[in-house]
Amino acid sequence: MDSIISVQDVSMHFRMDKNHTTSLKEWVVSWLKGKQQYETFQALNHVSFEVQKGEILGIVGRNGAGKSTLLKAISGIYRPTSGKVITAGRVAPMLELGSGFDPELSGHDNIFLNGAILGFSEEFLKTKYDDIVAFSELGDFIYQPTKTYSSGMMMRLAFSVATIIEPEILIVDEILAVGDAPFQEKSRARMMELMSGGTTVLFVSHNLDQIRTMCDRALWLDHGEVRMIGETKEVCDAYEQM
Amino acid sequence: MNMAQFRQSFGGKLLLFSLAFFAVIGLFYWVVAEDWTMSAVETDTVSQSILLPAGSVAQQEFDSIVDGLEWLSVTPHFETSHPAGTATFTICDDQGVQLWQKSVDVSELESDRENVIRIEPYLPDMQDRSLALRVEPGETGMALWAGTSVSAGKFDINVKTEGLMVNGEALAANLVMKTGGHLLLSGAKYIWPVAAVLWAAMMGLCVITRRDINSKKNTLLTKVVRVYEQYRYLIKQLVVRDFRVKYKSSSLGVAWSVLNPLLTMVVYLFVFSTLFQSNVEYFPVYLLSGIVLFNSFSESTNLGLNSIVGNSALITKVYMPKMIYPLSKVLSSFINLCISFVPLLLVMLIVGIPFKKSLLLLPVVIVLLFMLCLGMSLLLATMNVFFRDTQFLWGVMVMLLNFLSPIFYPESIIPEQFLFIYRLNPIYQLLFFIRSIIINGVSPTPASYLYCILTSAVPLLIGIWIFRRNQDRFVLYL
Repeated sequence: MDSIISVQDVSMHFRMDKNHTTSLKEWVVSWLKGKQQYETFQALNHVSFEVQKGEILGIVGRNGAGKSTLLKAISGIYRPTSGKVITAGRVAPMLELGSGFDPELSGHDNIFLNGAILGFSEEFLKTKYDDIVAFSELGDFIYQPTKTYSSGMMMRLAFSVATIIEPEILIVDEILAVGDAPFQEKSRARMMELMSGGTTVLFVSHNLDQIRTMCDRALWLDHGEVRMIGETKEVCDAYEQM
Repeated sequence: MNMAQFRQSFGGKLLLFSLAFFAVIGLFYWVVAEDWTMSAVETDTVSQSILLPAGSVAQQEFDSIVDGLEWLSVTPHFETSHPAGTATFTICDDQGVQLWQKSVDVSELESDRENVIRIEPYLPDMQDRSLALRVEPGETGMALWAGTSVSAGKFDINVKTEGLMVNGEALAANLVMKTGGHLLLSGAKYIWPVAAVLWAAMMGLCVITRRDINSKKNTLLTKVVRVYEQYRYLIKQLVVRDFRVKYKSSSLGVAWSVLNPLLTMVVYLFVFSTLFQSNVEYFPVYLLSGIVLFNSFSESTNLGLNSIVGNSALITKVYMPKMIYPLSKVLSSFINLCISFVPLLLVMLIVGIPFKKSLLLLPVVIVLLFMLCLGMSLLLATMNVFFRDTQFLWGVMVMLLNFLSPIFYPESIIPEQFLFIYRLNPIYQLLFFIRSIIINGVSPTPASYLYCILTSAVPLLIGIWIFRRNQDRFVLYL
């Protein structure tokens, strides 16, 4: 099988300004003092792995282990300090509650806006529109501005957009537990459907049960390094014993 | 292959593009050719007149500043009775070779006024030639006004040369005369060759880019094409979103795009009319063109400045080419600009400025202003990520620019020694441009186009360069 994501020796350093300068005055002052003081923080340290097409990779690790940084490097938001990420498909992050939504626009308009943000064309979104609305169970609320939505409605819409359009690579960062119980069940079913349908999923969660039930393989990140990668069960067991 | 398929094919696209390109150039040529080939010129006139005795043969030397000499004027003086007979006007070159001669019925001339004598057909290739005009009055003689100083615009310049000879004797004076004609500007004849070169270059780039895309090479152009293909729908969505949201909660909605410049104009008119109106022709249009242009600059740069910081929620969550944010903001503000041309045309109609074909050059202004605004937005958005003070600083800068551009005051009050600073101000160049095409109804000179392009393209290139250099670090500072 072809690997759809190839992470090659990726390191990510953050330069933390000791005195975080965001004003011109501060910058000039620290420049005049002769040195800007930086502290480097190594979020990822020579991380390499491959993900096959259609695979579901769970990523586990403590807070601050670099999970989110890794996902951002894969989706292109961060450019690695060194190393390379090669992706052979469209990466769709599951946007956090409505961050791609404009509260003034209706749900209908937001579906198209959000789809466009994820890089899809108008024609494609039109063919998927009915499915998205149906899945979100919003009914006529779809024509109301999203600022009137409850957070549950918002989440249902966001989930529907991200999953119905069937991206090649889906990134899920801790957001499966939303909506009421039936919708949670439905979304889990949809995820399963996606995964069997060939979508590659990167799945970050602190809920090891979810990882165990859903993922083919797991990756354990520890202090920015790959501690372990392999069978979900082995990795999860090792992580739990830690 | 049917028509639709042909239009979708690469060759078809190239052909359609070429046709459109040359249609636009043809239209452009039609609009500007006349203004770029000929510009009417008058020489200055002599004041402080003295009277020549009748019966003398006057010969006046002059340098032609025009290329094609079309007319000259003299100012005769008749004491009481109108003389009869014919006066002969002759123009010779400095070798004494006669170039043109015309006999004029003296009774047709009017006393103490400029009498224009047309030279038909006009004398070509006259620029910078030393010429002489000889006036032989008719049998009864004719008095002509002459003087010792030349009035040039506001000031009198003393004429040093003794240009006037009467009956072979040199006098320290000059005949009261004007010459007129047209200057041949070579601009128009370069339009087609330059367009052809541009076209060839674009065709070459298209073919190369297509080859690179097919062989999956990664060049700047293939990247641009890919990004455009993938994200043009997003750009459209963002622009439409901004436009919809802007007026969503106001009851007059889009009408504000029309009302806002109009009301600003009324305020300015009210405040400044007593101060400046006497100097400026069509002051309302002069004002409104300045307001529309400057408002658009101010609005789009302010939107662009906040486009990265204001979208931080999105930028930290999903990847897209970051230039899309400022680009979509400037685009949506330019929809506003296009709408605010409606009141401009309306006011033109009201004050009675005729609609000339030069109005078709408005898109040129829009494109140039767009380049400027996008460039500034890219620059400011980058700066604002690293120094949030930029937004406050820019507010002050915009106000300063507002006063440094002739928006509500006439250009003529700018002191000559500061004019070079004004020339560096892109807003000044664009104001000059738009007023030339709407108020004067003529295309600006090729030099003016060049100034405008330079002062707009340089900020754009700097903006793109700075933005691209820093865009990978944006996300770390949001």
